[in-house]
Amino acid sequence: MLVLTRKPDQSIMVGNEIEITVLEVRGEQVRIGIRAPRNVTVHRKEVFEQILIENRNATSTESLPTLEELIVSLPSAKS
Amino acid sequence: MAMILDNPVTDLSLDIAQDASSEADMSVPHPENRETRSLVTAFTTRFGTLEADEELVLTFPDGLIGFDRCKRFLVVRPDDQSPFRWLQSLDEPSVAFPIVEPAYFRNDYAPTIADTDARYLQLEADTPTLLFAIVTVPRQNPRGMTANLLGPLVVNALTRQGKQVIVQNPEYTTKHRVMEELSLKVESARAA
Repeated sequence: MLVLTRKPDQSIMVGNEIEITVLEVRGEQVRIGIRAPRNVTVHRKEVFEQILIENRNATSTESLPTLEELIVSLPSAKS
Repeated sequence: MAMILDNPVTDLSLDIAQDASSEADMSVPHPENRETRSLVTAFTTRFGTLEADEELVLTFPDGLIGFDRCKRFLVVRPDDQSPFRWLQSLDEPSVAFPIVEPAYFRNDYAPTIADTDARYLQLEADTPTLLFAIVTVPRQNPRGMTANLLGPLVVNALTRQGKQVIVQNPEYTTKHRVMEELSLKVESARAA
């Protein structure tokens, strides 16, 4: 991993089009600004990882719920 | 600019329910149809060999998150009474995701997707789309199943190209309890 030291208002260029700017450092929190072309998506890594884990969990599903299982749990069937 | 998805439609499923009418879908087509219909055949761990019209194949050019090699899929409906289906990978025989249309368990799901994603999928305001949530069904407790509304699957029904998008609404998570939200939907429908 490339490691660089930056101060607030200083930037890093990734390629020619992606600019990452340190906006503010306050205690443990760092505010970062990202300028990227419209075809580049930017997400918090933990959101991405949450979905990745959920996708993996979903593929280990053995079988879909049966209709009986669905019907029993509806309120209309209880009354 | 972002796009709100509130007009999902259309059905592009391969029915494999075990009845006479759908057996025709699984069999080799009549010779006279062979030239006009283009078919794909794929072996799958869960369903054996599937054969379907090329028109039913959905392409996710980037794959799904964490599954970048899975780009081509079929929506397989084992039971036409059930709202749940499988998104079966044609590239990895063992990979299949249980899916459901979010409208099945809630009426108000209208995710906002990034402009980037809308453009990637060539979506205009009136483009017919398919919208699916991936479902996780716990082994011992099928009614505890959850649906991922943070990262739904959006498909342009005209190009049949799709993407797993990360929606911009903070209220959606990866674990919506399907049966509980369905109960709320049913109750509010009765109250109305």
